Amino acid sequence: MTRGRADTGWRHRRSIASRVLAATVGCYAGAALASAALARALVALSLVPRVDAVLWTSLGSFALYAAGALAVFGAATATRAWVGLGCVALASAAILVLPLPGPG
Amino acid sequence: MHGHFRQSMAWLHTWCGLVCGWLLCAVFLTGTLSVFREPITRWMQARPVLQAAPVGDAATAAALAQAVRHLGRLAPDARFWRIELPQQPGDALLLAWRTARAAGQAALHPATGEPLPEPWGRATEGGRHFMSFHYMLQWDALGYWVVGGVSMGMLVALVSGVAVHRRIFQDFFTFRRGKGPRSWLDAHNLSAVLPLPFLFMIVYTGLAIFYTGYMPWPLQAVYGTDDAAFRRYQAELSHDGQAPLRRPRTGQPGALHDLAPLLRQAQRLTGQPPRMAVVEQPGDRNATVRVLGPRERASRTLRNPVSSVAFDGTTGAVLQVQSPEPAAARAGEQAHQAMEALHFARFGGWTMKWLYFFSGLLGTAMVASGLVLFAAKRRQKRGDAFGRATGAVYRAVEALNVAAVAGLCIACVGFLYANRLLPADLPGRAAWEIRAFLALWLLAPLHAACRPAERAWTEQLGAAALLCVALPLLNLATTGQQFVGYARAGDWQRAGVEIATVVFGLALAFAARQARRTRLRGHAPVRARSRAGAVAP
Repeated sequence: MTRGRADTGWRHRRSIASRVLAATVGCYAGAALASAALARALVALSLVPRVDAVLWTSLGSFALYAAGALAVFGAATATRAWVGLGCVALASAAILVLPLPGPG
Repeated sequence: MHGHFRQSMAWLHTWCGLVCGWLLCAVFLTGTLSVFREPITRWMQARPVLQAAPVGDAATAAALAQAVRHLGRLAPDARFWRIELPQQPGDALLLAWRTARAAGQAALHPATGEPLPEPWGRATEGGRHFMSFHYMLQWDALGYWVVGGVSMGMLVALVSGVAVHRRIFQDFFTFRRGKGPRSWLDAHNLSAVLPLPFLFMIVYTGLAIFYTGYMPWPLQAVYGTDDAAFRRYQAELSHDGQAPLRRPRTGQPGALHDLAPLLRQAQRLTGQPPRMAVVEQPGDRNATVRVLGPRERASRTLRNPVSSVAFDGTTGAVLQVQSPEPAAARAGEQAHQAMEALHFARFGGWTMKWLYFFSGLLGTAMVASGLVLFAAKRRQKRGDAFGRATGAVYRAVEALNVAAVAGLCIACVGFLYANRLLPADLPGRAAWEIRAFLALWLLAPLHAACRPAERAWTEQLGAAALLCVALPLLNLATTGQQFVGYARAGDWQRAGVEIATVVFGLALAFAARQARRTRLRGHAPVRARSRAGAVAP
């Protein structure tokens, strides 16, 4: 992003490519996992009927995606962006594999 | 830290906006045009105006009986018949049917029930083409995902654009003319800030209304991944509503009830004038007659369900009434329906449509001015973002800019030209019209790549302007109709399409003249004097 010193070369390019990948594929996966986990958690805690849980989390998932993409480019380094994404994905995946009252 | 954030947002805004901008232009302009898809379809069908033709359910009982006889003769074993009532003075009574093998249509005079010559008007996708292109680029599932991707890009560009912005309020009133990139920056800010809430709303609702396609994962996480999961979800979602009426074919013949009294009864029950009658399983004892109300109506609510009444086709007994008042749905479903209504401008009547149209044009202008701003800045100070390839990359950017803005206008008006120039009886002509649109849209970048960028701007803008302004002449030459005739007959929808196209053509002509002046004044590419400078965001 910021083009300081002499990093106009491949390192800069690799950082950009990495961020683009994180913002597109990574953030879609992140938003998908996070909204799915949120829906599952809302149902498991019986906070809302499951229809509403699906609707609200689906409708909100696009805001999550956009926020994620902005955060990826706002992060200090591409590696940090990937680490952040990985944390969100892992936490969501953990909720999804927990034996909660789910599909049925 | 704050400086870093702003800088990275500026970088993101620039490049995300550029990469998504070319397609966003097309998505925005065709979406803006689809606000008026029905008038455009009417114009493209070019049906003659019938004299002394009544409107709505004033279509006489005799004509309706004639329609039923006609359908019974042409398609006795159809799955359904559809009878569309005239909605405007001069409209015909339109019949359509579908059998197990084929579909057909015919037109009758609404006063006498006499069959009208075939084909009645031109077979065309009409304004629906702009709508399908708007969300699928006429490219099926792949186009659907590409449009979803660039919409997401637009959302990101909007947020990052607001983040880098320092002076939202001042930009309302700032326009510095004739100052190269400064003027383009002002134009970009102005066209983005004025309709900003609209832009956020339209792009977010555009994504969210397709949540089951773009983001099916919450649904799968809660309802399971099997094939029936979606059906289970749908059933729960609409549990407040009525179960869909299912009346299978019995195989025993039954005589169809007179339609005219059923239409009158439907109007009494729903308070809405009937728009069409659909006969399901005609000729069977279990035939159903469904009378549907208008799709659009002046109302004070956002959600406007289409009213309908289902009758038993043989006895005429009322089976089901769908009131035009929105049923109390659950909050989530209401939110989704409201998003749909907001995106499709299904409320507020014509005033709202014009508001959407102008906001959409401003949105298109925002994307277009952003693209031009990118090129104008780099023309002034080239930098070396792409090393040795920088010149070639910016050259390609300029060519794509021309095609994305001016070439798109040529394709849109060219679609109307294809409609009038292709023979009315050409088989598959609706598909040929769309091919003409796509061919023009894809040829534009080739032309732009072969010409110096500034000449390409003048030529393509000029061509689009000429085509737009000459549209009434083309119509007169091919069908003998034009806007004065439409207006005299009270058909302001078709007159409006032509007048709006001419006005648009005049605006394009102005733009072409400005582009030519800029070129002649010698705003020729300033060679980058300093290669050390970083690329400005």
